[in-house]
Amino acid sequence: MAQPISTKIRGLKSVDVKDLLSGCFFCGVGIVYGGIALRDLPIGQVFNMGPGFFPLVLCGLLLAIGGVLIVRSLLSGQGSGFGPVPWRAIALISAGIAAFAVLLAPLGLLIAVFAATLIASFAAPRTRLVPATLAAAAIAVFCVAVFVLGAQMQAPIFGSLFGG
Amino acid sequence: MELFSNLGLGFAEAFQPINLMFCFVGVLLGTVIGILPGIGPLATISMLLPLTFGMEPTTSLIMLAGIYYGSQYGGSTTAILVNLPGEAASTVTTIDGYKMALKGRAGVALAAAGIGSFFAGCVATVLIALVAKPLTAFALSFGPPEYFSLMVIGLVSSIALASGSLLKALGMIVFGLLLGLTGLDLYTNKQRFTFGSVDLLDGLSFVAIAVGVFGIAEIIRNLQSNEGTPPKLSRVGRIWPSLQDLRRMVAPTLRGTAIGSAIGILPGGGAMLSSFIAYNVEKRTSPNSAEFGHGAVEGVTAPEAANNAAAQTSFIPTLTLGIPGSATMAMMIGAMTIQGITPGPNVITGNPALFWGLIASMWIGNAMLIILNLPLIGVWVSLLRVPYRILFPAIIAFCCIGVYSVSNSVFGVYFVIGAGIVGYFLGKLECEWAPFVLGFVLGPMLEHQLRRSMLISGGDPTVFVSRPVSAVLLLMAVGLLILVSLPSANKKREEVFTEEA
Repeated sequence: MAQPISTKIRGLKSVDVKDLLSGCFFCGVGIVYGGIALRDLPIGQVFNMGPGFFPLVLCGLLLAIGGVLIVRSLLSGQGSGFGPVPWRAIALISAGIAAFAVLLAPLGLLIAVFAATLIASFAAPRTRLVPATLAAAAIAVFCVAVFVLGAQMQAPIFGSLFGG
Repeated sequence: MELFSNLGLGFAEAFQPINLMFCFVGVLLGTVIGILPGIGPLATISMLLPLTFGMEPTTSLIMLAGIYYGSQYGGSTTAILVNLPGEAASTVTTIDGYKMALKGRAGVALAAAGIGSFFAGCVATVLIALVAKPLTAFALSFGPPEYFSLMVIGLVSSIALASGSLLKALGMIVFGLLLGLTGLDLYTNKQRFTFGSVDLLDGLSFVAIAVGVFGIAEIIRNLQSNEGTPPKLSRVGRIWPSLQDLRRMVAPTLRGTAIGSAIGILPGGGAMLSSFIAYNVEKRTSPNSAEFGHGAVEGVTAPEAANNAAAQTSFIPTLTLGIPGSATMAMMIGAMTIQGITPGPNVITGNPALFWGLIASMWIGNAMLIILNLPLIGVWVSLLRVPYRILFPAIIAFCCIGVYSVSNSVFGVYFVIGAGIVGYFLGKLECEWAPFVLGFVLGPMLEHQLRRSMLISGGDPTVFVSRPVSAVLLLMAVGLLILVSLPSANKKREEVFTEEA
């Protein structure tokens, strides 16, 4: 006889999700890195360790720690949720940083900073275009003045597309 | 006296007008950038480091010292004003410092932090002059097993700093050790965990990781928690502590200095640990212990003094053993290497002018800091009045520029995205990054000493317990591990962090 679905959900609720996920994370890292070490790196002997020896020990430790965390989370009986994730902030901030990296060489620091800050500023709720654009322009000018003209950072103000 | 003639040599170098000027510029920039919430001392230093590369060694070092102190103080300032510690060591400062700020005593808290730091810095400078040589001789007697055990102590002590689960802190240490191994293996020149990328041959960029997991992840958290509204700010209030405040500060400052000086000498994590221990000691012994956690001035000045004294004395293990006491210190070592100081026992004898010049310049940076900052506390606070919706895109821009300027390549900038996302999610799982950072920094060294130990002992692991110094160190590490995992100690550890959170 299958248990009623509601009990199953209640069963899941009594799992400590944070412990479970961190346990899975540590195990995952241990498996991936341990696999690479086993495949590519000679282990050597105890008196003359190869490049794979210490990483394998660490991966073993990670698996043990992760395993205990997973078991503990299942037995804990105390539920914990993961909570909401601000996907919009994560996506826009990542996009802003990526824009900086992509635009720096072809368009130069001024435009790269402007684009990065403008995109990132929409990570906050209720951002309006005009004030955000003005702020981004001000930050871009500030950065060029302080870091390139002031601190003599090695970066083109205008990129290769402008012959900079 | 030879020792003080050495210090005199250093000060003569450091007191030249041009050096003083660059020290001032360093302190100013370090404070201005370090005071931005979300940009801790680590990011500040990495951003400003390239400024010092083109100068001659002494000038460069003294400016570096200025940047170091400026950024440290900037970190303490955000800890006190907006409850945002710039690095692990100033976590303790937030407990009572932020409470003082909420009560309108932010000025007093900032002044107390500055005065405590300055006093501790002065004492520790003299201490270094007295004990650096004998300690170096002692350090020279250390073999690979002793180094290994010493680092184990450092790693274990970092657990005491984590506020959450012991197991997760251990996991983060091991994770850090593992990622620290990325790059070419010293012994065989084999690539490890580089995934075929040329950019990873020299290892993962420490700055990119730090900016991602601390800076970017913190911005994501802030945007989530207050939906883009600025962190709540309180009035600065009076800046100068009253006579009563000063009286209450004397003993904690002295004790903090003593604790910090002693623990700072322990390599690996000493500086971080000292602020934590100093706070706990005050909380136990102070006649005003009931006030702790509610804005006790002792709770600010003691850990700040300890932190600064430890930062100063940690130059001894950093320079003689090459083991940095904190992530920030690791960055400083990197910068010094560029200026021709190679960490190792020969620094003091081989290059006395540089060593003493460095010690002297640290003191001058410290003094410059207090001269500059006490009158300007009000100005720094107004910087924080910039609305968060403008501040955070600016911080992101600074972070991009900072990471780029360390390596002059955009690879690190891309890496920041990944580090930020992983940093945010692991933070949400209550896995903390301070132990990770220590593991990451110590990973390659720990392995190196382990391999050397096994080579000299012919694969006999008892070498770690048959050599007395190493055995004592390992015993201390085990004791510490038991102590922090005891339920009662664990509870107290959590208390320190969660109380009045």
